[in-house]
Amino acid sequence: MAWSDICITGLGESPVGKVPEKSSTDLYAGVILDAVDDAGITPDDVDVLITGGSRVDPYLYHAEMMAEYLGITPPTCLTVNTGGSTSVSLLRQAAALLLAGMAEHVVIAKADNLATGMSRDSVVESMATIGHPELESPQGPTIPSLYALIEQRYLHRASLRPEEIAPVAVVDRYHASLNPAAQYRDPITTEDVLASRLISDPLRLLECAPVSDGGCAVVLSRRERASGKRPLVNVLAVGQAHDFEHVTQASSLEYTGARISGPAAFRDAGVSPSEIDVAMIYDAFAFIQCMQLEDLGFCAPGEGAAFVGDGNTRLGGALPVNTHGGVLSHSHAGRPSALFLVVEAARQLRNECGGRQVHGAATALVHGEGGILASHATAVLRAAS
Amino acid sequence: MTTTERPRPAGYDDHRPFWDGAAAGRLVVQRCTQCGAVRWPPRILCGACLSPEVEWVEATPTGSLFTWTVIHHTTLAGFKDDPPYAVGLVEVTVAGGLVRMLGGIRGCAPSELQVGMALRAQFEVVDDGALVNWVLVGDDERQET
Ligand SMILES: [Zn+2]
Repeated sequence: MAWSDICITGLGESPVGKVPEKSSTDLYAGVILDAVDDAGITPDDVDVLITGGSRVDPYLYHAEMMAEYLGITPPTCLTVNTGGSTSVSLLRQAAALLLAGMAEHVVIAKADNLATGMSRDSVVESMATIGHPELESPQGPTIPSLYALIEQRYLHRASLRPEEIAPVAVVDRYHASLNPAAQYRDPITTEDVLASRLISDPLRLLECAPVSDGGCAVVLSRRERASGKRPLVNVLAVGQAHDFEHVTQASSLEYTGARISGPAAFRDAGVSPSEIDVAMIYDAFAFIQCMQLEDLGFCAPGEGAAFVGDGNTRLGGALPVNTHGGVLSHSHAGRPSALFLVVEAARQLRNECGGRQVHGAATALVHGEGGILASHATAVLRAAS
Repeated sequence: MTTTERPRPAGYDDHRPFWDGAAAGRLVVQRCTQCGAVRWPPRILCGACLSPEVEWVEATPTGSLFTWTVIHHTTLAGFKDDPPYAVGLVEVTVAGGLVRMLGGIRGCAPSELQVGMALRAQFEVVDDGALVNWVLVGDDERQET
């Protein structure tokens, strides 16, 4: 067994946006069953069920609850309810279980109904637990404000104006307009972004993730156990970096852990940035994409915004990014957002993306970050030969 | 933390010197007596050398604005009437190094805020200590220092 034997074999996605007719548990069940069916296996074949829990239905043993719901008894159930890097780093944990011979099929699933299952303010407040409870929270920092602190410093370091970041949101929306499954599909312009209200200076509303319902699931399998129902996607490598929790403790707020997780993934995959055909980069806030394009080595420091502004990340450009619409326009149901990046990358490599397909896409990168640009994971995927 | 109130100092022993100092108008942080590294927030051991040996040292209550934001929209119930309000990361130099603190920036218009500007601590007394906010150093003060 080697990493080349680790394959993504199944994908499942729910509708996103407002899905009031489904509970988070129903969303979970639907995407797990879809992914298992896509993999050509049955729910009983699942050895490891990993879920991301739910903010709306906060079960302690969430994965066990889902197994019970589905009438299965996988030997391993894990509930891993952390943020945006986790969906990518879990590919590594899943690969480890497969490589160790402890599993043949691993399901990673994330779903929630933040848009209709709870009030918007309580959703955002439920996320607002990153600051130090005693020494920072008394100052009233919100999650967007903590990101805004990093954006402001990034703009200063790179000598950028806030308006140079806006094309990220425009490109995400353009891609969403090509994706019938995305939540926000009406094209927008840079002017629209700049006319949207300030949330936390310099972040404007259209540069911030929406609140959504939705979910998705991925099946990873040992190659010899794959049914062959769908094209296989190899997980070549996953790199990780975990630097800090509180923004005051970051070793640098001008560069991110993607400078460690990216090169680690490229090295272990034996792939260079120039070989990446399509990239999915977690962008709950627009500027994140610019910083990560730089830190992952797709462009020079300070040139991320120009890289996007010059059209490189649009379909047809040098490196199409977030072809499903990104976190900004596809959906943000919380924990599922980064797993949707994995699903979209795999669909690109399976040549299933229709009007947003990157022609000849053979190698893809997925980058997730969580906390306040604190925890990073980068995966390199390749269409199996 | 409840959702309807502002979070307040919790009064843990290892934070007590900071709150007592702030209530008396002094900015104090921890310094490792083993390796000399300064740290913030307070911890029971040094992240650089793991020594539990610590002293509290008084910092000159001035700093430099590392980065800032003005919050125009908040979902935090305890702050719902406050926007717009500014929050920044402030770099404070102490003998032995530098710490960053997150604090409110008071008394200046958003258009005045600039990375690198000189700030002075302003202590806002609350129930059981004082919050550290920051205000601009006036031109006259700057000439004195
Ligand atoms: Zn020390």
